[in-house]
Amino acid sequence: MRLVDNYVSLRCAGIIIYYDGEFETFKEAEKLIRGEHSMKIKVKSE
Amino acid sequence: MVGKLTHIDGFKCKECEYWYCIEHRIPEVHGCKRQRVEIMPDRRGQERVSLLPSYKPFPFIIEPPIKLRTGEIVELPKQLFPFTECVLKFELYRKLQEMGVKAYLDPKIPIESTWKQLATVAKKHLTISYVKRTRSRYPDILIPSFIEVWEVKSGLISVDLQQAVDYPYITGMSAYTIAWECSYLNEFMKYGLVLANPLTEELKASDRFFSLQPSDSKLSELELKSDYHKYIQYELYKMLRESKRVTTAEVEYGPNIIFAPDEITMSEIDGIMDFKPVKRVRRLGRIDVLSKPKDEAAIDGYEVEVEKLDPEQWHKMINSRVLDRFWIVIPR
Repeated sequence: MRLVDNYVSLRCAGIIIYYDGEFETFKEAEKLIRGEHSMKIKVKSE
Repeated sequence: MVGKLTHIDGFKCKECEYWYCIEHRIPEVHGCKRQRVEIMPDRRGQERVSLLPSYKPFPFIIEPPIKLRTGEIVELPKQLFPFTECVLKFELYRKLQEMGVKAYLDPKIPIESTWKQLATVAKKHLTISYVKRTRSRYPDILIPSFIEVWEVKSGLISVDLQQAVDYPYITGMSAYTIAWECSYLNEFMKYGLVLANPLTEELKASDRFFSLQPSDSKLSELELKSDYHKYIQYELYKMLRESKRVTTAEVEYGPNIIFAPDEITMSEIDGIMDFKPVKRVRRLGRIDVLSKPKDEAAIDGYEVEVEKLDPEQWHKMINSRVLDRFWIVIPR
């Protein structure tokens, strides 16, 4: 748990704990920057 | 080999009750004469024989993560590429859960098999002995009450039918390969391939798919359970989908790149018709679950950790710069 906390404080947005079908968000930190990626989906008329 | 004499290492057809080799075990392949015949009374009360169609749309539909309409062009972040193998697997499993059908995700099945082993060399003669070894198989979805195994594939580039051919041979269960419907795959339905149309959301399958049939399966002797990592991954995927986020699973990534097509063309009849693939450079792995909140542009990535924490993997994901936020998901 301590290890997770260390990494969370450095770079992760947070950790989510799963227990008995439920998810609990633990912590939220800085945002990361991403590159541009996009795709097109064309749906043809028959 | 087709005929009555191959029963020592063959398969009994449930329709005509003849024995066939592995290649010809499926009724459509050996041209089974009894498979499509149904006797029904006509208006005068006399029995007549009618031919049923070989393939029918399957009564349950799946729900791909995005809804698309005919004539539409949709632009989507590649991180949310919806037609992965894992999304199809989760959608099929979700539907089974809704229907109250007990199923397992990636369960471990130990299979005992006999292997040749080169034992000793004495006086220039090699002695070959046979040893029994247990190797485990992990089918994508196993449905005990239907005695069926489903192997799920994305289908976009290729489909490996071999695993589904092996399962009946080693476990006595029926096995089907299920893939997203791509135009090139239709002709392979005769080999038991089931296709999921990403637009109409229908499954196209042979009559025997998902049908309750008696079998000499050894399932009852096995303690079955879903793979825990896959199960948490599924629960997270389901929770995010149900909270109205666009959600996908197991998208491949590399340094500053997501391995998803630049463009996909699809139609209601043919499913995925064409796509422009990206050049595959250094692949770093797959992101367990990805989602986008409804009113935000940010993409969240989630890594499920069950047995051990893998900070090296987290660093790879963070440094690849394909996510806005990165989350670690662990069981309590």
